[in-house]
Amino acid sequence: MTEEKKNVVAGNENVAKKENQLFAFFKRLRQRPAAVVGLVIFAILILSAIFANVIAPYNYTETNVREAYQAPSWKHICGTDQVGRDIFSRLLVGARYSLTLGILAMLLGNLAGMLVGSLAGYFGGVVDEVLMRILDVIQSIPGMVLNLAVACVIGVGFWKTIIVMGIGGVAGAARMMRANILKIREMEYIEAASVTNCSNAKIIVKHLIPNAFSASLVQMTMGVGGSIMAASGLAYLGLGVQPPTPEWGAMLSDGRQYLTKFPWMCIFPGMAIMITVLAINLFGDGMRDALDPRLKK
Amino acid sequence: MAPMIEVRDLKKYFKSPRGTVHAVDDVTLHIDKGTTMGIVGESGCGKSTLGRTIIQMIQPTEGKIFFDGKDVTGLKGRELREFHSRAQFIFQDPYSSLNPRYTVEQTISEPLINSGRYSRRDIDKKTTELMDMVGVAQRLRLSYPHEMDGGRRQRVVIARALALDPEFVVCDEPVSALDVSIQAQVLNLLQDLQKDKNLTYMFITHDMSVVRHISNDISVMYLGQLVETSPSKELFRKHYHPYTKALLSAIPSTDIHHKMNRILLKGEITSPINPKPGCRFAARCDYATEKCHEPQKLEEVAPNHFVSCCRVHEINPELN
Amino acid sequence: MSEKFLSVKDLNDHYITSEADVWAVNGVSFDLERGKTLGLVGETGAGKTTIARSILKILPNPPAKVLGGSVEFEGKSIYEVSEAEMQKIRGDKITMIFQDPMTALNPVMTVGEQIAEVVALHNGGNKEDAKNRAVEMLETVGIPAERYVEYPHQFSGGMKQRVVIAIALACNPDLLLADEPTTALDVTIQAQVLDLMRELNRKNDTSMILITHDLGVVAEMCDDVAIVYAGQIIEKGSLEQIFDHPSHPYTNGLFGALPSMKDDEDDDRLHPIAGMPPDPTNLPTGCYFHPRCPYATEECKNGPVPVKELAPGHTCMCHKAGEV
Repeated sequence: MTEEKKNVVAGNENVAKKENQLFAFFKRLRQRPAAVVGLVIFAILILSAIFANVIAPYNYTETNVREAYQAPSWKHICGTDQVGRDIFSRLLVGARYSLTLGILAMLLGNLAGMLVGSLAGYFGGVVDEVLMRILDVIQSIPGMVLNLAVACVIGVGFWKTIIVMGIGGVAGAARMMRANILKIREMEYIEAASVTNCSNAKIIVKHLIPNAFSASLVQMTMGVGGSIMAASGLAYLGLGVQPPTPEWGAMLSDGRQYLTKFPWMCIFPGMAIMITVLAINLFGDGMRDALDPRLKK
Repeated sequence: MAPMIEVRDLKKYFKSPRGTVHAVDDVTLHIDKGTTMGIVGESGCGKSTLGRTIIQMIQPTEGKIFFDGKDVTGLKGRELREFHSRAQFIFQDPYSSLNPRYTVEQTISEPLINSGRYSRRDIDKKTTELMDMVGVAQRLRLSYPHEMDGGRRQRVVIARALALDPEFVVCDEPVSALDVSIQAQVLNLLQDLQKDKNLTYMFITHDMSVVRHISNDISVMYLGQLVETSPSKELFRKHYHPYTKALLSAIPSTDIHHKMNRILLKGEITSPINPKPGCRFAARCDYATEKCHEPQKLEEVAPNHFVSCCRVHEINPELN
Repeated sequence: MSEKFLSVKDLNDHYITSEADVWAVNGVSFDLERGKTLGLVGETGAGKTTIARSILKILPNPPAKVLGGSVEFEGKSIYEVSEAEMQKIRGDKITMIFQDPMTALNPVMTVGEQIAEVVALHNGGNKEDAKNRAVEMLETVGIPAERYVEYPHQFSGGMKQRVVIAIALACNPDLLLADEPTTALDVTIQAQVLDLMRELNRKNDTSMILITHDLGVVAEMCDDVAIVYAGQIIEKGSLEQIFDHPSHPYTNGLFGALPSMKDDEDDDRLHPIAGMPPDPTNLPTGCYFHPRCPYATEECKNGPVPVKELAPGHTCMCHKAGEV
């Protein structure tokens, strides 16, 4: 069963290994069509965010009251909003804000959560007890209320919304990481690492987190969609991303009051969020499998 | 010969919701330099905990451990790291004792890197030597554990344990997860390494034929207590503790012409939680009397042959 | 007993996945007489369990495929009976004991109910009878009837395996397939369980196929022995024939690799079999054992290997059978 590997000359080892791993990763990813579809959609979204100015048929801030409330047509494929701005153009530019917001908030929340969860899971005892009780308190506050509270303290705007969303994600990420760490801490290779004189930091960083990480990956990616959604709620209450920034969540809450008469104002931002979340989830699922060297066969 | 390891009145208790687990209870033993002490017993008898306590992966509740004449009980920090470069542990399950995301090279070189004694070049060279020493082909250097079979994985585990040239190694069921033909390869390797490097082994197993083959001395454990210690060849000829008798008679023999007289034990191993004082085996022992519920002491019944049973002379008339 | 009780002929099982074709069982044939115990001995991945599962027709399909061969049980070909009839055979006539007693029991049902359920399924569903039978079975395997209402987690490993045996034997099967029934148990408990199985089989005249890697267990339990290597039976015969006159180099290797328990032998080193078991997705040509065989010659590397009969009932699949 062993895979034949080229004998690598001592000096080039690390380079060869990295290439090998990356190549193997893509090879394994390719065997999962759903993941490839997810990746392709995600790539298209990123590209359209980058080249929004080139692709967009109209200026996203340009209002035109005579063309307000227009249904989708060849002229405005996603229709126009209450002040006549082209929704398609706004979605393209909004992708920049929404994707950045979703991804950064997810990263922020998960990095902090992973750190807390790893410490709690690895050290256990008092450290675990204290950290987990703090998380209990945080999680006993409804998510939206927590977001509002944090937003009231630190203020509104795009970057501050990212921080609000990030803080909101810490507790969940920490719990998940802790559960995974607890499972992996029981493995003998952790004991082996400590008896071969690895420092605590090295055990956490090199042995625990990489093995606990892949299990969290899918839930982490789901966090991107969750953050975009939650940010739209915050925007609706006026404590999130401020208009006229064309962030998708803000557009969604903006259009809510016209939902019955001019549904496209909600449908298209909603679809954009849905497609993004779906693509990321598909990709995350495939990536978890592809990252795991054990699942090669 | 000076003892490599000496353990005195070692106790390891765990707290559990249902009471205190007496995993290791008053174990005293010593292992001479360059020899192998086999520790046998059934699952849950505390043999693995004993090994982990001696290597200081867990701290004893009471008792002392001497390594090469020095008290090493409760070492911390730099001293503990120093101890771990001289005393190592080989794990039972080569599936869970290797990080699935580490290549063979990363696994074997880790103790070398951690020690801080070697340069990058030396680490590469030493890793190559270690792989040759345990018989893992160089082409597997960048392989992951799941790409190898159990025998190779266990060789990698052995290489990691021996990376810093330890003098003493606790082997916790190192061949139990392997097939017979592979098991023989690994046992031979362990024996060759012992000869080359004058290693001292503590060999924990439930397999009596393996322990007989590899050990100079054997200690039999039952529920945290040592019940009998003896030079290994002698133990298979003469055993005096009722538990040892039952244990040895239960081994299925491949000798189809000489059936052994089997002693079938009553019941199952009792719980190590809050045990009653005295002999733990008394509940299943045919010879148990009131006296057995008093604390027992190891008694030397023959040269280097110790038994912990107050009725040993009554049960074994040949001793008198 | 002139009528054949169980006859397996030229069984071939593969596991077919998108990446590889695993040759698990490659032309296995054997007969079993009523009331006898056959030991299937081999190492991990040799195909022992697959053989047993194809007798019960419980191989997961896909990925497993029975490519050929026949299994005749009491004169009936089990590959021709309907699935409904097969379900009656399973449990009524043939039952299986799995290796791991910890996962073979349902954790949220009392052990008594689990035995009674099996009985009720096969005896027409009278609950009262089933319960009585379950209590009787518990006592037969040495568990007091009071423990009928306890759950699996309240039992130790040995006790659980007794419950599994009680379930398997509750309907008085004619054939018991035991897949490493004592591997997860301690030696003293193993001795108890083996003793119990032997006694029950003798009492009910049950035949058994015992799958194990432990030659000691085989010596204790079996009348006949078949050595399995890479999905083939490379040697079979009576217990005495195999243990006193092992003829295949692999069989000899297995005995040689065991640490000896005999007192007089100078056993400083073991004699392992060189190399590793073959990869079942890429088996060697010729004799599957030839890359590890110390006696291999040119003729072993290619072409079919003859099965030679060395004594009545003692066959060996090797060019050099009887010479080595």
